[in-house]
Amino acid sequence: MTREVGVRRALYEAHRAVGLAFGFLGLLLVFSGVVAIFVDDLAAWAERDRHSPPMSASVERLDEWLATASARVDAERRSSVRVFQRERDAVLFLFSSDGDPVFEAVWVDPVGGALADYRRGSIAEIFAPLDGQVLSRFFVSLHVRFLLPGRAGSLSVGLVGIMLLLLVFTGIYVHWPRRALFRRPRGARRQLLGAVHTLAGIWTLPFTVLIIVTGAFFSFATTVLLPALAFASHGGDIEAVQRAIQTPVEVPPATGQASASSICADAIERTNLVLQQVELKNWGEQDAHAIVRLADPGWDLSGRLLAYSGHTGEFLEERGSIGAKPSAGATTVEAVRALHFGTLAGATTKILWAIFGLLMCVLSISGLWVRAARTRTWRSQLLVVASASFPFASFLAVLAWAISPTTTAMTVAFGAAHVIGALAGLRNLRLLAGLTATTGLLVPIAGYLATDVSPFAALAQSEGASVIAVDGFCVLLSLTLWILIARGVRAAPSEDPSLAHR
Amino acid sequence: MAAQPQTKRVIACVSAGFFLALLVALGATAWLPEGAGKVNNLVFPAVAFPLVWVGIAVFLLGARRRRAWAISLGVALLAALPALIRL
Repeated sequence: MTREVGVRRALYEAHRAVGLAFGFLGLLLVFSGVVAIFVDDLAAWAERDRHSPPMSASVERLDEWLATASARVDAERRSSVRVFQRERDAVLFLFSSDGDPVFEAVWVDPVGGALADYRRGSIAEIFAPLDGQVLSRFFVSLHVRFLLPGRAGSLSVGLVGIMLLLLVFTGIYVHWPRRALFRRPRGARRQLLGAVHTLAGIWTLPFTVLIIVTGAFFSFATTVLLPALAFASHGGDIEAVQRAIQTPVEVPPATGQASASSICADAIERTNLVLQQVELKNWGEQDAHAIVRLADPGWDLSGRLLAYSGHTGEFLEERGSIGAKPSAGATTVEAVRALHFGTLAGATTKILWAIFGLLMCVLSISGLWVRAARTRTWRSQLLVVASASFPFASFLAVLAWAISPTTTAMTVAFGAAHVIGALAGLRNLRLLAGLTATTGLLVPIAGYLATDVSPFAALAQSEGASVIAVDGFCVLLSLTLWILIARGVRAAPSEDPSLAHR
Repeated sequence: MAAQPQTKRVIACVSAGFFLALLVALGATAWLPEGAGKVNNLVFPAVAFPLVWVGIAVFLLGARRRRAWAISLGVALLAALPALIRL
């Protein structure tokens, strides 16, 4: 045996072992990631009955809103506040005090300027999701934590991501095609699946590497890496790290109180970007300053942070998103975020990312299917049909949300759908396709019943496009499945003669 | 149920890859420049960490020789040396 053959065999065996152990979880990660790309649209679909205009459209009223919000909170927290908007919410004023774990949050309606909501407590208590937000956060949590709590979930997802990257690298070495990459895959079913698996792997290679490397950054950086790296870089002095990264804004001595509205207006004029967040520190006290974050919604790497004096309203300096000044490291973190979330160039990259994500799903399922065709065991077939149950499970989770908007109900429905889908798929794949198509057609109806706002009524508001897009996708997928069933698509793997039970 | 020899091998190589990549990342904080924002030497090793991890794991899986383990360990220790001295 030559050395090259030995290497190929070793990597092939590793590819097979890792694929069998992590293929299903990898598919869960990729599929939920594709759904999570459209999390804003999903939130708009689920919350079509409430929406607020962006605060950037009325920055001249910021001082008025700040006065309304400040009057509601304790005096010791009034000097430090972050102002921003999340999802479909009103403008949020998040008040805090250094070292105090208790926050006070005041939501102000940007239309009438009235106090919309008030919460007091930890960050988790303040951002406890409303009914409509449960749906989008379920899919995000499925993607970033596998619904597991805390760091365990984040590290599990990171490990699965690393295993996917290992599969890609070993797969490329083992399966690199000797024929042209543009040739249409042909052959009997097993050979065809193998060719589809190889071509999907090759064509998605740059995207797969990009998405896993950026995703692994989120899984490992905050949980393990950055604390360890900060420890190593400053000889164990964590406070020195914090001083280096969070250099305070140097405010020239002055008296008086600047207008937050004027500061934001100047920042917008200076950058021609859209206001995203304002942070007011020591407001009304010594060293008062404001840090304004702006960005272009169409180009996610355009974010800028400007610092202003809180006394005179004078522009002081431009800062980095991490660290005192703009730097390659801070830009890299911004790029990692934009590339992983698909928000780099707005809707264009989101759609492109979704297409590549679906190709990664094809890659996973075809790999598991090839394995099932080779081993002919019921366990490998179960992995295939369980993988094919993800759309059905997602649709059923949405229906569960419409009945009971809790994460528990959605989790139970998602798990039960996998069991039902796998049992149905093992018997007849057409049955699983029928279940998926039926639940998919029910999703638009569920959205209407849960919110009491029809898609046509939603069209009159800003979220109408999202509602139509989500409903349209579900109906289109369902109709496609019905057409395939009607045309008698060959069921597999259980009805595939080559995969018959021994 | 006992793990298959191939599974044990994958676990060993992936685990070794993690620790060696961590060594390289820790060392990189010492020899990478901080930059204007004083974060470059923290961010770049964190971003490259998954690639280094998987790269080492694949190298160990494919090489099947003790020499590969020795080379990987040697390079990782060499990369980590400046940080280890500073600690």
